[in-house]
Amino acid sequence: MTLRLRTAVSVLTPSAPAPASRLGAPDGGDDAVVEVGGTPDHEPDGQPAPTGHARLVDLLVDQVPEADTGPDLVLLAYARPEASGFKTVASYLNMRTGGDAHSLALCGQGLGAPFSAVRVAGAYERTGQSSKSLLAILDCAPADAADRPDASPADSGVLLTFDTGSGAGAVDTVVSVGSAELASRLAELVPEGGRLLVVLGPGGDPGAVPAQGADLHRASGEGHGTGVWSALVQHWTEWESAYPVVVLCDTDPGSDTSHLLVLRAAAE
Amino acid sequence: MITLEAVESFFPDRTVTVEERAAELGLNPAQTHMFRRIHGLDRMHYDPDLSLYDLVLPAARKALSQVDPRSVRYLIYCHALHGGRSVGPETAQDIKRLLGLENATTFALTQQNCAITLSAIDVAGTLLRADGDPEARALVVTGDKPRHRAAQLVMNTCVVGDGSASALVAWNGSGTAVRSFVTRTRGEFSDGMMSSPALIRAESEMRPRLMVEVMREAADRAGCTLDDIQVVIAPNPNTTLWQDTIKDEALRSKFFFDNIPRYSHCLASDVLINYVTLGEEKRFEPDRPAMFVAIGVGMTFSAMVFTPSSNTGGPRS
Repeated sequence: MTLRLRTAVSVLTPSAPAPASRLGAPDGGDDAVVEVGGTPDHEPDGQPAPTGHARLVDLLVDQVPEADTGPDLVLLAYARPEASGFKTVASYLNMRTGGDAHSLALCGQGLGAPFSAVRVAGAYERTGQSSKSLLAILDCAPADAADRPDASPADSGVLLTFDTGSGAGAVDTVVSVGSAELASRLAELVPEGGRLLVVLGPGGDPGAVPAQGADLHRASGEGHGTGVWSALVQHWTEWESAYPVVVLCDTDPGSDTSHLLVLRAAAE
Repeated sequence: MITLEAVESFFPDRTVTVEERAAELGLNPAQTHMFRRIHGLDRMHYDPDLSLYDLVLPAARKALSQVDPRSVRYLIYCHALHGGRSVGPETAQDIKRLLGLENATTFALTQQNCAITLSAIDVAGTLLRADGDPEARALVVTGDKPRHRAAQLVMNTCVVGDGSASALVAWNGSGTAVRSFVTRTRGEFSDGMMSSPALIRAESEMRPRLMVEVMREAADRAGCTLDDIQVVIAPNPNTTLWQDTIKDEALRSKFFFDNIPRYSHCLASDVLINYVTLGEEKRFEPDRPAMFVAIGVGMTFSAMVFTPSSNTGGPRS
């Protein structure tokens, strides 16, 4: 795999729930439809202000240099969907970043969705079907997050762009393993020269990190499924010069599966 | 190239006429008349007691019946509806567990609405190709079960029926060969039916041109022309959408519309359902190109050229 990380930006912002007028039908039936004889609920200018995932897309894309837009593959990944399916946010992200890409959303895999999205991007790159891809990883707090001790009332997102090449940021491997296998897989990643950095998500087991030749960075749990990716954005500049191998590791507590993305860095 | 090794569909036993379904949905006589006389609907399968799993699993199991389940490396569940109230985040993993495909990397693809199935075939084939194992397979599972009245009546023009389909995908297998895939997305229409009236008008004006452009490009990439295509397999929302979209009568005559009055619109499953019908009715001419097309709200246009294999279903003898 020669997919290479090019740009990484992130956002963490207080949640901004959709206005009541856009929450959808009272019976919850609000999936890209209006009732027969009904009228769509438009803002006066016909362009409602983006909310939810679309708002995060705006906040992320505004940070990306124009030279890094124009992908041929746009992937949107999330662990938990928005309640409303009115807006096709993957299409919106496509438009905001050039409009010429094959775009779709990857979900249904819990914290593994962004990892599989990188795997898909890598497959398109390896088969010559993509030379410039873009991945947005988004999470919106549930509406009752402020009242729940186990949920952060924040929305978070990460946008990564990839091109083709070797060297710093090259994607080496994407793999999912059971918890019993995690320690051995991480041990295999310890390089002969230099140290391995393990970026562990909130549910990960720090005991699986090799005692020799590896360092641990614990990602924050402020966003569901975005923590390790946000840490990558915040620290990549320092990590790529300090570690030959960086592995992002997020563990799904429900399935007891750990998802790993192995990146080769400049220090190799 | 990507190949379709098996494609299977499923419908629940209960059938209703469009009038019976319209009555269940509380439509008035004028609306009911519109669906039959204008949009070409007649009957459909619909069972309110059917779960999503009851809907999608039979076709998936049939598609798996001819292979060793251990060869299935990917399970991709694609769904048209993408709001969390319609499809829970655990659905794809539940399907994996219920099919006994514990070793398959499993995820869902969505946000192309009714066009997502063609992208899912492309994603599945691309993953297999990149992996390089000729024995590996990917299972694409499609099917939606909208639970709310508003989601059962799409865009004032479609009544959603119950139907599902699954495809077993290989790289360089012996089945139907996929020869090209082209997709275009116009994100300015990402609000779908929540778009402004001006945008909805703009979409109607743009749709015929872009659909034919995508079809022509897919044919070109497959080394043929639209004249060479034996049949075009499209979703079944209604007949009027295609009359408005494909202005060329000669081209429209290649479209397979027989399942619109049989099954109505089964969202992203339609194209595979129609493929199964054509195979069962021996209406494919082997080794002559055919084409899937799809339009997804939001707004994606896709076309995929394929060549039915001799075992896909040839003409009646």
